[in-house]
Amino acid sequence: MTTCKEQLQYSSPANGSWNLSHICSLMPQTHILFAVPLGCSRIIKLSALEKGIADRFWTLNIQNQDLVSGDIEKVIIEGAVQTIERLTKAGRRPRALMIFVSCIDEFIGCDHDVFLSELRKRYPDMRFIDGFMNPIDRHTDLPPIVNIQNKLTAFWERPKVVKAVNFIGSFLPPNEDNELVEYLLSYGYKTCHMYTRRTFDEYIAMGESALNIVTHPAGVYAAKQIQGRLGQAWSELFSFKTTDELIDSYNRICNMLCIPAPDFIKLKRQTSDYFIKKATEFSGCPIVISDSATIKPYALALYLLDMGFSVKMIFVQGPSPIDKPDMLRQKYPEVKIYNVDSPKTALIYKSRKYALPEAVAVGELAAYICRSEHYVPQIAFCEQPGFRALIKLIDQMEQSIKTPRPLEDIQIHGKGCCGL
Amino acid sequence: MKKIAIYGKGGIGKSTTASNIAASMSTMGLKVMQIGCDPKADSTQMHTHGQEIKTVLDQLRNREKDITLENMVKKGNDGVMCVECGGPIPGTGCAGRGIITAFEELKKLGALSVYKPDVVLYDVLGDVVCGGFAMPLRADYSRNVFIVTSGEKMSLYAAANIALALEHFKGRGYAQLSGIIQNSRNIENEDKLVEKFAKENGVPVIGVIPREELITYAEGLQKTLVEAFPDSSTAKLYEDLAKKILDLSEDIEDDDM
Repeated sequence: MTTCKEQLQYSSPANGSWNLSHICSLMPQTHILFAVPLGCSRIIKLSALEKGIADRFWTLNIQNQDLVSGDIEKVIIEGAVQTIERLTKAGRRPRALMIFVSCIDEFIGCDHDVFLSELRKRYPDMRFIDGFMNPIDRHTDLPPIVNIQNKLTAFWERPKVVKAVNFIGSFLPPNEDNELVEYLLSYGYKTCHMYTRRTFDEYIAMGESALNIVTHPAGVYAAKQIQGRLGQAWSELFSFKTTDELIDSYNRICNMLCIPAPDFIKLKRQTSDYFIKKATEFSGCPIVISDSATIKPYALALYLLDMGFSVKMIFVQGPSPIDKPDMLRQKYPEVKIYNVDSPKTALIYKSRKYALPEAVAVGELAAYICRSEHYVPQIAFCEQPGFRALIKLIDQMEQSIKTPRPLEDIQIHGKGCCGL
Repeated sequence: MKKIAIYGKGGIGKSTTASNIAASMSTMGLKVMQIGCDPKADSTQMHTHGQEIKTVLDQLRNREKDITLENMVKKGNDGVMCVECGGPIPGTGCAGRGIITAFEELKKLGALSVYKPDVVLYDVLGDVVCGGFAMPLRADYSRNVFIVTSGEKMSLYAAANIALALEHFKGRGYAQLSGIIQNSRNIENEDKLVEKFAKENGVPVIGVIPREELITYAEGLQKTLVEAFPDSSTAKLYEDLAKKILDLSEDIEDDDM
C-alpha cells in the first residue's frame, strides 16, 4: 500500500503550463461543456478567460440533487442541448462538442454511452466526444495528457491521401524556419499542426496527411491509434536531439516519404560551431535545466557540457520515459540532479540551498528553484525540434542574461501557452 | 455466451441459488464464470469449499505488482470459475465505486476473452442501491436479470425496487428482467404472492426452491447442494432451473465485458 509520505508531493508555482482548456481549444469550431461541480470548473473558467476563449467554454454545475436523483445522464443531455440550441440561435452552431466530467462521475456510475448516443441521435451533423478532468480516472491507464491527445485526434478522417505532413505531440507547430519544414515544402509537402487549423474541416482533414511526425512522447499513443484506424504512418522527432540524432531522424522521415535524404551536414557543422563559440562567450556562466522545459533534460545537459557549457544543476519532477541520467552521471558526476517532487523541496527552497541567481535557467521550474531571473521560458510541450531551434535556444539563453524576466511572471497561470 | 445477473434482497439466498445454478450448468458441461459483486466477497465460497479467494479490489488496494487474471480467477472444485469483486473495509470507502472499479479492471484484463466462459453469472448484492450496483445491468455485462425472492414483504419490496431500476433503464439497451426465482420461506400464500409479483412485472416464476434442510446442511459442508447431494430431488430442481435460465437468456457473440 502507498503511504501518505509517498503520496505527498511538492508542486512548485512554476507549473502554469498547458491545461485542458488550452489543449481543447486547439480543435477549431468546437465547444467544450464541463459537467462538473462548481468548484471543479473554477480553474477551467479562469484558464479560458486568460486565453480569451471563454466564449467556447460552458459549464453545467452538477449539484447534490443531481447526484441523488440518479438522472445525471439526463442532466448532461439537457445541458448539452441547451448549449447547442443557444449557440445555434446565435448563429454559432458548433461542429463538435466535447463533454468533460469530473471524478464525481466515477462514484455515481454515469453511463457516457447514454448521453453520447442520445446527442448523436439528436444532432447527426455534429460530433460528440467525452473527456475526463479527473485525477483518479480509472477508465484508462493513460495519463491525461496522453488520453486527451488521443481524444482530440479521434475525429480525423482519411477519404484520400494528400501531400502533407502533420506534427503532433507538441502543442505548438515547428517554427517556420525549421529546416525540415522548409525541406519538405521544397518537395511539395505542406506541414500541418492542430494549432494552425482554422476550421473543423481543415482539422479533420489532417487525417489525409501522408505522415504524422510526433514531436513529444505524449503523442505516440494517439499516433499508434491513428495508424490502426486510418493507416496513417508515424515517425518520432522528440526534442531534444543532438545534431547526429537529428540527421538520423530526418533521414528516416524522408525515407518514409520516399524523398531523398536532406544534406544538412553544413547546417550540422554550423550548429556545432555556434555552440562551441557561444560556450566560450558564456565563459563558465552556470546553467541550470529543468524538465519543465524539455522531456530530455539529461540529454540536453550532456550536449551542452560536451560543447563546453557549464551545466550545474538539473531539476526533475519524476523519471522521463525517454531520457536516462546514466551517461551524464558517468561523464559529468559533478552535475547535481534533484528530484523536486519531494515535499522536502519546499523547505530546501526556503533555506535557499538551490539559490543561484546568476545562473541561466532553461525552464521556468529551474528559474524558480534557483531564484534566477535569467531564464528561457521554454515549455516541454512546446519544445522546438531542429538545428535552427538549437541555435535559437542558445540565443534565448544569451538574451536572458541581457534581459532578465521577473520571477513573478512564472507564477501566472498558463503563461507561455499560445502567446499568453 | 450468456451473460446473466442474479439480484435480490440481502440474505434471501441469492448466492446459494446462484452457486447451485452455476454448479448445475457446470455439471451440464458448460464453462461457467461466477462473479460475486458483494463487498463481503462470499458469493463463490461454496465452489471453493470455503477457501477464500483474492478479490479484484484486494489486488488493486495492495497495488500488487502483478495484477493478473490468474490471481483473480480461481477454479472451484466443481469447475466453476470464481471471481470476487470485493469492496472496501466495512464502514469505509464506496462499495458501488468498488464494483465499478473491479468491473473495469476485469474488462481491461480481458477476463471473458481469456477464459471464454459459456455463461457469466453475476451475483449482485442485495439491491440496486446506487449507480455502482447497476453496473452489471449494462449491456456490456449482462443481458438477462433474474430476481430471487421469497413471499416475504421486505423481499418482494426489494424485488420491486430492482424491477423499478430496470424499468428506469429501459431504452438504454440494458439487461432485461427475464424471470423470478422463488426461494421459499414457507410463509402463508407464498406461491400466490410471488406469482402476483411476477405477473405485475410481466415475467414468469421460473422456479420454486423449497425451504430445505439439505441446502443448509450442504452449506455447512461448504459445498453447493448440487455437489454435495447430486442425486437429491432439490439438485434436480436446480438443474431444471438452470435449464430454464439458459433457455430464457440471450445468446451473444463471444466478446468481452
